[in-house]
Amino acid sequence: MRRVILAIAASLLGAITAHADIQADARKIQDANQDAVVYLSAVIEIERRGGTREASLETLGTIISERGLIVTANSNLGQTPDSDGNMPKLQDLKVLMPDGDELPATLVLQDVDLDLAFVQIDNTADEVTFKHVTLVEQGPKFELFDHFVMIGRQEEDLERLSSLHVGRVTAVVKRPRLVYGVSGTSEAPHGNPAFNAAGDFVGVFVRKIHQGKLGSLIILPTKAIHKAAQQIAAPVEEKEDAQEEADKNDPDEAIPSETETPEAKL
Amino acid sequence: MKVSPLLVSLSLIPLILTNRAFGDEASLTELLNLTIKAQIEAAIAAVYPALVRVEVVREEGSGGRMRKTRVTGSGTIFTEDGYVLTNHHVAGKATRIICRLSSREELEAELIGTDILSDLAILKLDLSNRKDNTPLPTAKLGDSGKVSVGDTVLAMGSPAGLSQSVTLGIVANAEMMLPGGGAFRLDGENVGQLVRWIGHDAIIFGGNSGGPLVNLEGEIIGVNEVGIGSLGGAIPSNLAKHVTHEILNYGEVRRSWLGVLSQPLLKKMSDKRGILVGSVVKDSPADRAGLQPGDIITNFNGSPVEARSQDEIPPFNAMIFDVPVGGQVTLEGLRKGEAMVWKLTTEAREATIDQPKELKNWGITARDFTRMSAIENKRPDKAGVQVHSVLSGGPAKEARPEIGRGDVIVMIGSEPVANTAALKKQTALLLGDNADPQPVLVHFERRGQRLMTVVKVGPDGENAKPKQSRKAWLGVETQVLSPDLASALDLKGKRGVRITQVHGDTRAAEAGLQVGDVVLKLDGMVVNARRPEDGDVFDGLIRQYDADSEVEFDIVRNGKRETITAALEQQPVSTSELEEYEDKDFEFTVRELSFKDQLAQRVEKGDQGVLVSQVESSGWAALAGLSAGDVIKRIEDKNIVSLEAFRQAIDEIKQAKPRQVVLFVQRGVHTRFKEIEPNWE
Repeated sequence: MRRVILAIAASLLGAITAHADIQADARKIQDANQDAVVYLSAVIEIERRGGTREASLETLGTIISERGLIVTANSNLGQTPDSDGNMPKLQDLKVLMPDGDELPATLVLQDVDLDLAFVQIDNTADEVTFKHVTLVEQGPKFELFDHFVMIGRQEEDLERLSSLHVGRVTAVVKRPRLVYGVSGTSEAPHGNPAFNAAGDFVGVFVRKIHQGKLGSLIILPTKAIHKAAQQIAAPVEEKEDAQEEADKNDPDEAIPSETETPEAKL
Repeated sequence: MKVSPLLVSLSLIPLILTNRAFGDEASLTELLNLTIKAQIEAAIAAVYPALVRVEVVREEGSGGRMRKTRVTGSGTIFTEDGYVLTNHHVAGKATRIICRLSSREELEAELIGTDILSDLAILKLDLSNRKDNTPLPTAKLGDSGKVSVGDTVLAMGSPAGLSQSVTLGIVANAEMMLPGGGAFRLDGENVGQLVRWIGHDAIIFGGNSGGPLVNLEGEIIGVNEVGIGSLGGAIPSNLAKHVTHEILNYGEVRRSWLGVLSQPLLKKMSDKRGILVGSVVKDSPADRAGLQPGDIITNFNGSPVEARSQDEIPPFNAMIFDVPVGGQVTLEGLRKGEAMVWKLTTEAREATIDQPKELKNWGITARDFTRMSAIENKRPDKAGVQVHSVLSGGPAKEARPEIGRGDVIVMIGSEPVANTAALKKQTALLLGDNADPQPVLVHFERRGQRLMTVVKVGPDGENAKPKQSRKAWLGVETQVLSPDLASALDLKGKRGVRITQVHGDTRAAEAGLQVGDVVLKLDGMVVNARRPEDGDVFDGLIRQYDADSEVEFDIVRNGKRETITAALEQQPVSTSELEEYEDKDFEFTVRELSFKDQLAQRVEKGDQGVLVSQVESSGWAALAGLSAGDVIKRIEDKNIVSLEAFRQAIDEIKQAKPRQVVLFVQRGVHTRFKEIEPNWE
């Protein structure tokens, strides 16, 4: 009995310590990366039978290069076709920087199927660089039930302050491509980054596109982001040292052939 | 020997008298008919050869553009050197005019002058390309003052664009007005304030406009213009004579203006005579002379004037118009019963409103102010540019706040805008050699407010389309496995797709996928397609993969389950991603041929050319009959093998500026030639 009590106590202590560890880690990750998370503001024009209507929207994006390339969720820019197949026209796109500046930007690449969009800040002088997350092709991967750290931003009424959320990976979907299901973030904005507890950029939050419709919130890993970004005229610069580091962390390239969920494991 | 019909008719007169003496009524009627027939034939012989069918391409401002339409009307050659009389509403806004003579000869024509107020226009045939030098047939303008109700008349012209035709009728009304003094508005002018039409029942139809109304003497007594009820209305030839004289000698019709709006006397003024002054334009000759609303004008330069109905106003207006510009006018009249005399010096009458012009770089059509339109818009002077229509998605429409119809652009940057010509020059300076739109601060006025906005002025206000990510693709086409189809194929309860086409030279073909294979699963995932709207489910699943992935397909072939592994490949370049070339002179857009065009069976594999992706409605290409989906194979003698080849060919054409440009196009299984005639100005 005593052994049992000791075991439970040890387990609780371990859990509390782990919890304290992830909190501390998350704050460090936030400090290091919060300026790479920005608001995007857009005006879209929607064609209707009775004429056109304008709508304004805001969403989060993640800066992935020092030249100001931003990745976000395509659906958050209103860039999903309507029932007639018409794509709303993006009229005005701006990046709201943490210092309050508004920078004009251009939508440069879309992947409707992966809910990805890339936005480039316009006309930046050569000497201007942006704080950004480190994007590598073969980034780190999550295991089932790993912690993820999500950096976001509050809305305008809370001065768009940087926000922090820690959650768990609830599913690792491997086919047709690797994506992660998550818990506790269903209401969260997306287009923002997910990090592992070590502070590595693992992916961005987007919506799963299922049979042409918006589905669950997922983390799309960096590999897909990197591959898509390569199609843009000025490819995202790659940090060789970061890539090497990632390769060390993830020697196993094989992708399991099944989907794992916590429920299945239990 | 050919006998003149006129001589025949004259020779019949004694015969009629002779027959009357014998009392043979049947023969008399017959002879009368013969007489009239001879007169009609003579009249036709005198005018018909001079008839022309006028084919016009004209431009009208609408939706921020000058839109082109093709119309046909009628006209008459009235001088041997090729001047043609027609209506303003036929040819007054023409950018291209072709006249088809009664001899079927086709000649280009130039617009020499146009007069909106009388709805008349004068054209000049281009005789330089005539095949022979035979004299042109001409017709003579008669005296419309002699026209009486009941006169037999002939309407000649090209109804509905037909070749020259003649109808017969009588004059129903020698001074026809619209009911209640109603207005016939044409490009801002009230034609009824000057014209009293010759009403007749000779059938006329659209296309007769500009054609002559002819008396039995073979003279033009009117120019057909309108249909009012069952009657046709022709502009009297005496007015046409004045207009042609003015245009031929001065290039325009000079008219005087007093600045007084006159109206018939009111019913309670039955004890008075004269014309009532309804309003007086500020700073006009009438204003300076002291005329006021309520005054009654009884004499004009010593001649008594009176109007108790609206029909009597046009002659008074004509008296004013006919005074030489700057001439002296003495008006006598009454003010509250007291005799008055007003001395006025006339001024030149300007158009009520200016005609719209296109400013492509702004996405608008706009007007200059005339004296009257400035007054109507409560402008202090004629400076500024008034927006007439706005192109949806164009620079003016996209500005925030947007510039809309009726707004007056008064300043760009720090430079005042005088008129449309000045604004075009200012825009050209602003743009310089820039190919991209340039932002400019614009001051404009709207309902008394002075607003500012920024307009991105430039050759193309459209946002560039974002690039689409290149996706995975399997070289097959499929159909949904509906429940009924599944049952028929012994696959009841299954979902999936049936392969309907396997594209050659693809990895799908290499892997052995065949038409008729039913795909139930991909990598163990069910292909969840069973309803017609699930048509994209299979392709959507494929697009979720990376392009270089290998996928295991669970299929049913000939009733047997099989597994086939096939590698995916990168999808062909989508149509929306292909580079396009928009030509503003020809007014259409082309792009490279795509894989989708093969799927749509527009072209065969290996075909060359460029595909017309868009034809601007009412543009030059549209007028030539070019359609979206046409494949241009050749321009003049240049084969078009790529978009670049098309660009080069077009550039060469633009240097040479030929009158016509011949395109050889493919539409479906047929080929055809299309002839575009752009306006190089």
